[in-house]
Amino acid sequence: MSQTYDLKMLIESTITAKGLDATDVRGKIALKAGRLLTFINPTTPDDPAGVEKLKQAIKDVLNISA
Amino acid sequence: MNYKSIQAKVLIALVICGVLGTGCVVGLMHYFTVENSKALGVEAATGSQKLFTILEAREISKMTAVSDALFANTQVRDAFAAKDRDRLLALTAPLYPQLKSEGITNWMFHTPEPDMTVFLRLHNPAKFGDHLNRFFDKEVARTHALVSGNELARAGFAVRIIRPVYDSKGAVTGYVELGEELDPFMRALKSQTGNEYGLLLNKKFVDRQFWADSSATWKRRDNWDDHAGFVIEGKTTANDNIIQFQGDLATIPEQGTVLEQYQDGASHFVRGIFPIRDAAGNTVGAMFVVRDISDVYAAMRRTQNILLGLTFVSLVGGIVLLLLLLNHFIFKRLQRILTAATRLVGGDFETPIRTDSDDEVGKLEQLFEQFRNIFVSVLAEMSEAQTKK
Repeated sequence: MSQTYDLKMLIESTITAKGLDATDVRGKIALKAGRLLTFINPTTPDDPAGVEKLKQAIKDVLNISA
Repeated sequence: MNYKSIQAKVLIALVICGVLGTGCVVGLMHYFTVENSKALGVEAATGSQKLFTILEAREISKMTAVSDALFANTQVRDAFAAKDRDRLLALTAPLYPQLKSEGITNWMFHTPEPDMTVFLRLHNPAKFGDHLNRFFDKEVARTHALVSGNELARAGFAVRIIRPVYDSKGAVTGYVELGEELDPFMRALKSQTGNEYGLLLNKKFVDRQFWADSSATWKRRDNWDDHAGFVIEGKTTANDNIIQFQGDLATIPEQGTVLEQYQDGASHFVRGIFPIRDAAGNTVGAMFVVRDISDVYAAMRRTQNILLGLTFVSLVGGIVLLLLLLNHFIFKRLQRILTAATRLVGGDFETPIRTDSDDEVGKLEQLFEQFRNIFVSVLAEMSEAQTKK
């Protein structure tokens, strides 16, 4: 599994744990990261720049370090 | 609040406009208050001046009528023509108290020129034979016609008339003079206008020694040194502080002028002054006018406060209404588009953007809805393509 997919899983688990509005949170992170979370799956290849942007988006929206 | 938002910028702009608007109203009201106070001062000065002129004309007319009636009496005329002082005094003395009660305090007979001495003073019969040598005497001797107007004698100011007296052959046998002091004028002015008055005399035209002597005679304080260029002949109030004048009486404009507005405790006053000329045209004095404008000032302040309150309420109401309208028609709908866009990217492909207006934001909503539909279609196609792989 890729690091990108791990990050997606982190997002989903945080949303569930905190009881957040999943669509809203996913949308905000996607807009900040510049990619759609819908298309991230276990085979999605890691792009170092893309991973960093996704981590930063998670930090900004969920206030957690990935 | 996000200070980068248009909402915050609009709010700040509106608050600035509100503060400026309120400031302008306050400034404008202050300007109107000052101008109205000035106008009241002008009205006090010019109105009093007109009234003074009317009173003066009325008194001159009265004294002229009295002198006419006096010399309609042939006994008086003959006694004067014969220069029989005792007989003239006997005939006229009973009339003097009545005239005095009407304000005519000075009554004199003069011999004809070239001597032109005082033949009889009804107000001081023991004193006679002196030369007065005033403008009035010279003018009546020159014209042999009635001369009237203000005259500043050595120790005081009076409205006077002097006219020739003719015998049966038409020759001038002398002159009769009647005069009224200005104190009753000031009282009449005060009773008709409610203003306070002070009569100032130019020291150049007043004899210092005579002023001191008359002050002692009338048991009044010698106020010669109170002011540099003038002396206060009389005033309608015991308050000495009302008269504040530093200028030269000779420079007061003909129509009078407003000096200042001032406050004494809770009361507001405005000071004005107008010149008083003698029969020769010299500015020998001035009438100082103090008008209490407390009631008008309070009314102006009340109006100012009401207007200020209304302006403030209107501005705040306007700002709130404008913000509500902006929020309803623009900001709320923009926020809805932002939320929809975010949710769309987050996976909510089903919720459409509701468009119920054809305004500028409505067009943006329509455009976004079209864009959302295309986006959803593309995603569906991509998803299908990925599944087929």
